[in-house]
Amino acid sequence: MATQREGFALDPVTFEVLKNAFITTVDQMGEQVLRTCYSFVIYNRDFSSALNDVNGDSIAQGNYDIAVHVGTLHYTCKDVIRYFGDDMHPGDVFAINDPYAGGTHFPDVRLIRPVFVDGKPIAYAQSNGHWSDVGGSVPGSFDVAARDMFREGIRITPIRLWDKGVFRRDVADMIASNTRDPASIIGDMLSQAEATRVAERELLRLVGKYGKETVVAGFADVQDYVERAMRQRLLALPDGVWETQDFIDRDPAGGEGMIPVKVKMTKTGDRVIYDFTGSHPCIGSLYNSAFGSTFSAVAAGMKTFFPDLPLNSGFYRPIEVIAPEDTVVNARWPVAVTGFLMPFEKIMNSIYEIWSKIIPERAIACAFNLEYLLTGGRDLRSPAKPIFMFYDWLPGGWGGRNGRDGCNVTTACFGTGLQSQPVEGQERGSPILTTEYQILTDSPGPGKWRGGAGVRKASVLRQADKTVISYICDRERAIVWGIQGGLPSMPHGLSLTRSGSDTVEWLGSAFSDVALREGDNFSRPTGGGGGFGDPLERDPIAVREDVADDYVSLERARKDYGVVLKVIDIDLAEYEVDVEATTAERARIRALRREWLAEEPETVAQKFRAGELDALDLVRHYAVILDWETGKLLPNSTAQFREMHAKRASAYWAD
Amino acid sequence: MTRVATDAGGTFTDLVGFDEATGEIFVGKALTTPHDPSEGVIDTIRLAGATGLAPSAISLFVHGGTTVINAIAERKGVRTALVTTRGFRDVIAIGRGNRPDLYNLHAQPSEPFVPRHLRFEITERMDAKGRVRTPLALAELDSIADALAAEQVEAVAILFLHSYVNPAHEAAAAALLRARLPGVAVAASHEVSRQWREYERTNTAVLSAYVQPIMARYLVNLVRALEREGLGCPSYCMQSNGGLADFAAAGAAPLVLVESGPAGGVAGAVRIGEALGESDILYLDVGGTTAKCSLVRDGRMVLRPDYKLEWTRLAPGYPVQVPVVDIVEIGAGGGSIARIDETGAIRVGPQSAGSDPGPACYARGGQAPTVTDAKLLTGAIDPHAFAGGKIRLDPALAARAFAPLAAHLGLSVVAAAEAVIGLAEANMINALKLVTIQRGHDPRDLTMVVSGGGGPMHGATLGRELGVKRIVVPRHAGLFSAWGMLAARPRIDLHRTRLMTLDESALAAARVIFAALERDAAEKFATPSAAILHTHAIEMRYAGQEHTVAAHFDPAAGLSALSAAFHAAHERAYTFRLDDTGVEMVTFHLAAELDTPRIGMPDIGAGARLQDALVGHRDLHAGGGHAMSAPVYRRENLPAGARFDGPALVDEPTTTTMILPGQHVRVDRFGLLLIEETT
Repeated sequence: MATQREGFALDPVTFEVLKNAFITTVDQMGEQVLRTCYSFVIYNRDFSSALNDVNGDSIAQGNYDIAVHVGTLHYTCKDVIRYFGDDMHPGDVFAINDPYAGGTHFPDVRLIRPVFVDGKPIAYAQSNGHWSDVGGSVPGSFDVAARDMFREGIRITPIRLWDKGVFRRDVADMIASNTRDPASIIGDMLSQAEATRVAERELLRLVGKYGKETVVAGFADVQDYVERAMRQRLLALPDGVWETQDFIDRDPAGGEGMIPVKVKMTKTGDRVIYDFTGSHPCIGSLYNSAFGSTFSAVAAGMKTFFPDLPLNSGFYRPIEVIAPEDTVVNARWPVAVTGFLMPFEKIMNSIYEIWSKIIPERAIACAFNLEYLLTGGRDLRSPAKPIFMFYDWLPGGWGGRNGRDGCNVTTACFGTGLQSQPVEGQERGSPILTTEYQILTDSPGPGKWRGGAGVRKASVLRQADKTVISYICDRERAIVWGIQGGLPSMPHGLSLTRSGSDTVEWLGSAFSDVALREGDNFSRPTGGGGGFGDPLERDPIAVREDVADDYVSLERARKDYGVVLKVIDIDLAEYEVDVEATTAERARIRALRREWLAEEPETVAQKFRAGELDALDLVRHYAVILDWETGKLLPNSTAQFREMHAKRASAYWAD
Repeated sequence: MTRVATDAGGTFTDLVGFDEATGEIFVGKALTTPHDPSEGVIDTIRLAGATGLAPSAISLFVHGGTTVINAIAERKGVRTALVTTRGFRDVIAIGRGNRPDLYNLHAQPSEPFVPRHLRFEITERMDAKGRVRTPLALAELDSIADALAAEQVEAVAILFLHSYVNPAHEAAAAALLRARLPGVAVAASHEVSRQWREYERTNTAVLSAYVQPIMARYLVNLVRALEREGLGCPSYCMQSNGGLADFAAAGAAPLVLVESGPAGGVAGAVRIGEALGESDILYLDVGGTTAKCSLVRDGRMVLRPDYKLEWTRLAPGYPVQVPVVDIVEIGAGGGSIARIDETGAIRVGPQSAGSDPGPACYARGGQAPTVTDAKLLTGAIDPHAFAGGKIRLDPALAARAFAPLAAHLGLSVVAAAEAVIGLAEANMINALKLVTIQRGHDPRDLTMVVSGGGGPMHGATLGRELGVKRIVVPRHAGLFSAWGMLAARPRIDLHRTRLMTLDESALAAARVIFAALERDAAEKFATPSAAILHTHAIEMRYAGQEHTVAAHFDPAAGLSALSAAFHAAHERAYTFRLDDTGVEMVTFHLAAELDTPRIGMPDIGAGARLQDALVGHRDLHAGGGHAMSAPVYRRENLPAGARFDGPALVDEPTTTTMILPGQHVRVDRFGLLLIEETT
């Protein structure tokens, strides 16, 4: 046997073999779920898996997991252990979805199987999947009007779903009966339970080969390994205190003004404390986060700066999170939390901003906001008029990076899941025809390194009846921001054009149950990423290439980058930089841009209403936020937006 | 009557020839010539000629290699444009929006193969049933053709939405562009795939167009070169589906060659299975930088439903809808480097020393400890007999490379080498589990066939850990992919996506679809249907499920047989079945093979004595903490029927087979080494 390393039970060779075997085991669970699940949402990779030790701490998580779930899986395992204690037996499988006990939201249901050796559990295998419906007042269980959990769906506190190997049909049916799709829900239970059995089989094989003591020691060692690597890296970085804030657009139950999420990070030696004191109290919508999701946002944000380390509870040990109760980052029963992803992504982007200052080479600006469209009704294309459900989500742009433009059209903060769906499949399943699905010109936030581009998808409703549309998104006002002098992207929000009408109605970034009729068109963009660095310092050649590729329009090349291009051949996308005019234009913008930011907001709003300025001018150059439907100034939101724009953009401009 | 196959790999081009009359086998190995791989092919023919292979006697020539995948990997395809439905020019750029790596936001997503300014939109639209909503605006196509000419593109792909149901618009657009742009390769998506999912089908059409002119030119060169050497026989390419395509078909749709070499190995494994009467085979090939494994089930190779080019754990790659044999590949091979990470743990691979500088023991300047160095230090490799004695290995250099690792572990150099072999094998085990246990197959029912320079060195250990029935080492294991190409038959795979709920009327529709596919295959082969072997499968799923499972379809059988086949396939793959849930058919798959005679496997003869093959002993470290004295046999001298126990080593020019204590070897009439556990 090779010698042991100090602080580790296993020799390095056995350690490496077991570490890889644990990760492979979790990946096998993921493959199993992916190929057998029923819920369309799980199939689109909204699931995660974990191995937890006897304390519920995470040993290993999968390669394809959802960033959002990962930091919560140890909490739900601990809650099941707390609840059942010694009353666990081989063949038992438990279920839980409780956000108030560390879960995310009600649709994320976790199945947890204790793995027994010699009559005692040595570990737990956990499979978490997003079920397509868990009841509540609307299909899909995302009710934008919910103020408490009673409209959101069934809350599953720890229950026993398999009892010594016997499926408890009574319990399962009771849960399934509270959903809109009982057959699929039972299918998902079977699929997830089977995944945990795959993990059990693998662990027992390892125990058979290496012995129980060695495998259990491996559980501890892999966590210690990550903790040690994490602490070593933290020690090598400077100590300090960093603060920032981001916003949720609004509180539907409150007045005008954005909802702050405040983060203060204190790093001392090999520890970091995240303090959310000062964040807004819970709001009257589903955009609240319970503690587990908030912790998960911290872990996901921080992991981005340490991408090569495996993720398990060892990663969490140097981290402390302080989140005052009854705020948007620590909601308690029975506050609505199904839209927790909205505070989640504010936290994650804030953490990107903080760490961008500590590890500048990995710096990254704000990403587009996750968005989720739900439409449902009766499909009249077929005589049976079956119910259809159309769930759609889009990729968008990621933030500009230090030395590199942001990634174009990429899946959201959420993880690698929720991939863009094939239109050919969607049009078969729903009476909705997509008329356009394209990269959106001028969506990237301008910067020396611009944000990635977002997209626009436009669709028309075909023969259908009793159809309603809901939309879960944000950052219609708290626009995707740049850092270190970079500029914001553009407002998120859905527009509707009624059949036969020319009027475009702005429905914005969050609404529910709007009736749709045949021939109605709806169109939505995803934002680009925020810019990194002063756009006036961007290489004009790079701007020329962006214009050739239609990522940036000729007009905005001049307005946002001060780059003037001569058109050589528009069909062959050939342009030339007018060097002299560019120098002059950049000088003009430099001379004026601080004045724009100080201009009386109401004057700016008037210019918008008069058609002299457009929405991109307002958010990028004047930092003014309006009700985009009416053109009415939102003074409080504008003040908040200007405060942060000054800190993130103008403070970094050299002149 | 000699069949010849050449496999132009990354470093070497291999040749295997087989005289069907005498059973004589010819081999040749030359350096691959990347600027024009046909030169390397000719080199091997000349080398084999020196040992008696007469070009004029060659009756069948098969060629496999990396030309297509290299053109893609090195981005050396031609300037390619895309014509697509209005509103959808970015389908190829949006893809599925995949993040390359969950937490690494500095990774770069895959770039599409057609830049945005070469993606043209045209007014036209079909609905999901293939009904025209907006007619094709042919007039617009004229100005697009002008722009394509002005842009000097060499290839154009066409993708219209729902063309997998109704290709009329695509066909009309392709005809017009072909007429307007002579010399430009035009690939309409329905010509390369009739499956749904527009992004995947676009990639398939675009990549096909991107490499088509390259491959067509290459095959013309190769044919000329072969003619100059005096070959006048029918010529075929090895396809990724494990079958052969004639040069004309391969040149027209070259994407089918993307995994040509590895597919040759799997075709060989199928043939070995036939010879042994084994229908379920686990195949492992260990080369210099990677290990590849694949499963053969019911005597047939398994195709991947969702093949992705350049896919890695951290990169989404490029999905393409071509039939590719299901191979799991990992970065563990002879050149894999062992290192100590920041916390003191040991890692092996995926970094590889490759062939240049190669492992430390090659004495070509490599300093890093590799798996091959470890195999040398543990006595599995003979330093004087490696690569038939052409490469002298230096154990002192291997020991020097391992010294830091040994010091770190507090072990002897040899024990550290054993540890590194163990780690590499643990990685291979994880890959082997992916193609077996993970897909519902019990390794205890499987025969494991190992090949490549490294396979026979690891096979005994891996087979024991997995608990396979037995391990088989074919002859010329280091040239096995080329040999496998000789075993392949001409083959075409055809797919149609059409969603139908399984009932009597759908069954009738399925028969109609398959009849049309069979006619299509007969036309492509220019052969009556009777001379073709058909295999029918339908990808099906439970209503409401997203993922499909392929079930065998017998056109003569009824509804209950098909239904039972699906439920059984689902249960086998995923451990459960739902007898009361409705079933949906999604994609229809016909595999058509020409019924040509299989390559023979000659008897090696039992004349010689085992003693005559014994050439000495080596000290072998293979677990247990001490050296064992292992008898060393020369492979070519082993007689049929010979039996011996492990520990033992069998040397041959392209590899060494290692047999562990507790294992028993039998040499069968074909010269295969069959290794089983004694108990």
